[in-house]
Amino acid sequence: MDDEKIKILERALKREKQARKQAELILEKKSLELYTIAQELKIANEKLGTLLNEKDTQLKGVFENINDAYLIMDLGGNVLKMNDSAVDFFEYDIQKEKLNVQNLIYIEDTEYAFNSFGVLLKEGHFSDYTARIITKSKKIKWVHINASIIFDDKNKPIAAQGIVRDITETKFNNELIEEQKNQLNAIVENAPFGIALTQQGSFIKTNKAFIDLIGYNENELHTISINDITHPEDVDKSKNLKKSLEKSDLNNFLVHKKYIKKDGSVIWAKTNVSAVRNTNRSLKYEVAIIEDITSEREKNLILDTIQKLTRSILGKVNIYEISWEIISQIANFLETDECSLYLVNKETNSLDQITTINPNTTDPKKIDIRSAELVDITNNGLSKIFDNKASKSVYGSEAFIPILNENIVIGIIHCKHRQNNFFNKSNINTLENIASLVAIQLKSAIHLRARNKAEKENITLLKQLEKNNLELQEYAHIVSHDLKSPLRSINALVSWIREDNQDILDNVSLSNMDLIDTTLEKMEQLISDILIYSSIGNKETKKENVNLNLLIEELKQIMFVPTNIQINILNELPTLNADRIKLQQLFQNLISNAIKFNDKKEGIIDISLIEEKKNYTISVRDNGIGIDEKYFKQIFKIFNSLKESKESSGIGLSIVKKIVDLLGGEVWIESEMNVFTAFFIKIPK
Amino acid sequence: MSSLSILLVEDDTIEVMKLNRTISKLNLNHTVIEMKNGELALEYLNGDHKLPDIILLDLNMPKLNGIDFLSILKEDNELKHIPTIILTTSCNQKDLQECYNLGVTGYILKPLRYEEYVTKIEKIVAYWSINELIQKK
Repeated sequence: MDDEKIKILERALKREKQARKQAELILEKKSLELYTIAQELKIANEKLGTLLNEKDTQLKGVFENINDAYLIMDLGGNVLKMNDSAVDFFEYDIQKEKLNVQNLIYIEDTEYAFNSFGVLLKEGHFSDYTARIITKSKKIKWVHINASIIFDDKNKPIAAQGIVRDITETKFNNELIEEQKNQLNAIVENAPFGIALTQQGSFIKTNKAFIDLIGYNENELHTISINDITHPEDVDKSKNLKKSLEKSDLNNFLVHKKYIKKDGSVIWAKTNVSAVRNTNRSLKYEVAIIEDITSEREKNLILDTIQKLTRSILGKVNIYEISWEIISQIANFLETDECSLYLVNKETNSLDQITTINPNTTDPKKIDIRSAELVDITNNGLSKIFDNKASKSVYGSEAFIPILNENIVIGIIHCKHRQNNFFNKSNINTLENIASLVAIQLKSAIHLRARNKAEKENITLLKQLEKNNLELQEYAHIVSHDLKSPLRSINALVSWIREDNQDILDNVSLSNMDLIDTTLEKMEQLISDILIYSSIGNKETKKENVNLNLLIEELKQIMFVPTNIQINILNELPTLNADRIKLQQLFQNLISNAIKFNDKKEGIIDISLIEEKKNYTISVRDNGIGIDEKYFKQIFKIFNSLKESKESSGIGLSIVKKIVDLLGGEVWIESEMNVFTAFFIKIPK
Repeated sequence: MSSLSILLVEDDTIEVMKLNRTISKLNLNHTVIEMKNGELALEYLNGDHKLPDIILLDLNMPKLNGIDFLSILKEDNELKHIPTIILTTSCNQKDLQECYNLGVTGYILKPLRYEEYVTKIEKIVAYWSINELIQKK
C-alpha cells in the first residue's frame, strides 16, 4: 500500500471520524431539542387536559341544572361528553358505550346535518339547527341545536359542543297552531257572510265574502271607511250604535242596514258588530259580520207586500180605495218615487189615471191608449221597462205593468225609479204577480162602479117611472071621467027624448034608443075596465089574509047572478095572503065570464081546489059555450073578446092574467066546445 | 018636507040640466043655484046671499076643482057647516078618502043611466029635506 493510499485512507478516516462526531453532535442536539419539545408537549397536554377539565367542570356547572341536553364531540362526531339530560334524551350513555352523532341523525335530515356541520366548522358556530333525531329506542324527536367549535390555544378547532333542545312538542304545537290558523283563515275566507275587522271605521282586514259583497277590493277598502259604504239613510243609526260601543254601553249589536256597493247599487245586510277591547276596556277593534239579506228581504218583502195588499183590498169595493192600496204597497215595496194606476177607458180609448203617488201631479192624467210606447202593453199584455239614461228624464228607469183580466188589459201600473236599470226580471215578476192578484178585485170594483152608475140611473128612472105611473093613473081617472061624462049626457038626453016624445016615437025608434043605451053601457064598462087594468100593479099592495071561501060568498052577493046559474064551492078553498081587492077582481072576472058565456038552462059554476106541495091550483069551471082551443092563448090578451056581448069589454081576462102574474102564478084554460070551460089558477103558497 | 036651497057646483051643462030636470020631474019645491066652478061658488057663498041648505059638488072642474073648493069651505067658519055631497064620476079611492076626511056628508057616483041618477037624487033630496038645517044670514 502506498502512502498515498494510506494517506488518503487516513484522511478519509479522519473525515469520517469528524463527520461522525458532527453527526453525534447534531443527534445529541436534536435529541435535546426533541426532549425539550416532548417536555413542552407534555406540559401543553397537561395544560389542555386541565383546560378541558376546567372548562368541562365550568360547563358542567352551567348546564348541570338545565333540562337541555348538552354534549361535546370531537370533530369526527364522537361524543366526548354528555350531560344527564343528554343521556335521558338520546338514551345513550357514553360511560357505557361509544356514540357517534351520525347515529343520531334522522335519515332524511342527513344532508341538512352535514351542511350545517360544514357551516359550523367554517363559521365556528351554528344557531337554530332544527331537525329530527333518532334515539336509541328509535324514537324520532325534533331538536333545536345551538352549536359552537372549541379551539385550542393555537386556535385550532379540536371539538364541538352543542345545546340540544327537545322541541318535539313545541314543534307539534306550532304545527297545530299553524293548522288551526289555516283552518280559521279558511273558515273566515270561505265564510258565506262578509267579515270585516275595523278600527275606528277603517278596514284592517276583510274576507272574500265581504269584498264580493261590497264590490271594493282589499286595496280600495283601505282607502275608505265603513261610513263611506253605509247608505246615507243609515249613517246616523250606525254612528249612534258605534258610539255605544265606544262608551262600553254595548258589546255588540245587530242592525239591518243598507250598504252602497262600488257600482252604486244598494244591498240590505244584517250586520252584527262586536267590540274587541284593550285591557283598559277601550275599544280596539270592531268585528263586523255582514250577511246579505237583500234577496231574502226581497222575498219576505214580496210575501209581505202581497199579504198586506191582499188583506188591505179584501172587501174593498171602491176603485179608488183599491187602487190606492195597490200603488202605495208597490211604492213602499220598490221604494219608487212615482207610482200610478191607470184604468182602461173604452169609451174614450184612453188610460185614465185613477191614483198616483207623485208630488208633482195635480190633475189626473189621461194617456192615449194607442200611443206608440204603450201598444205592446195594452195590445199584447206585456210588461215594459224603459231606461231613461239617454233622455233627460229625472227618472232613471220606469216600468209599465198591465193588469190583465181574462186576457184583457183592464189597467196599467206605472212605476218610476230614480235608479238606472232599477227594474229587472225579478221585480217585474213581482209586480206582475201583484197585478194578477188585484185584477179580479179591481174588475169587480169596475163592475160595481158600472153597476152603481146604472143603479143610480135606474133609481132616477124608477122615480121618473113612478111619477109617470102616478100621472098616468091620474090621467086614466081623468080620461075615464071625461069619457064617461059624455056617455052620461047622451044617456040623459036620449032618456029625455024618449020621455018627451013617448007618444010620437014608434017601436023601431024606441028600440033604437034602447040600443043607444046598451051601447053606452058597453062603452062605460069598457072605460071602467081599462081603468082597472091600468091600475093593477100601480097601487101599493096591502097584503092580508083573505079567505077565498068568504070572498066568493061576498062576490055572490055583490054580483048579479041569474037564477038559472048555480055557483058551487066544491071543496074548501085556502086562505091566501094577498091583496084583497086584486083577488076580488080576479074571481069577479072569472065568475062573471062564466055567467056571461053560459047558454045552458041550468048553468053550473064549480070552484075547486087542488092542493100541491108548493102551490094552490084553483079552478073555475062552467058548463057554458066553451072556447075553441085555438083561442086559448089569445083570450088573455087585451081587447080580445071572442064573443060580441053587451057585458064583455074584452078586458076581463087580461085583468085576470095581469093579477095572476102579479101573484107570481100561472093561469091556463081547458075547454070543450059547448060542454065546459075551466080556468086554472096556480098560485104559489 | 021642507023646500031646500041646493047649490050645484058643476061645470057640465047637461049635468046641470039633469039636476034641474030631475027636481022638476019629481015635482019637488026645491031651489037650484048653479055655479060653473069652485071659484064662482065661493064668490057666491061669500057674497050677500042666503046660504044654501046643501051643496052638491062635482070634483073634476076647471079652475078651482072640487077638493080645493071643499078645503077652503071647511076652513071657513061661516061656511063649514053646510052639508056637502060629492056628485062625481070618480070612484078613485084616494078622492073618496080625501073627501070624507075633509068632512063631506055624502059621496054619490054619477051613474050612467039617467033613471038611476033620478033615483039617487030623489033619495038625497028626500033625506036632506027631512033634516033640521042651520039657517044663517
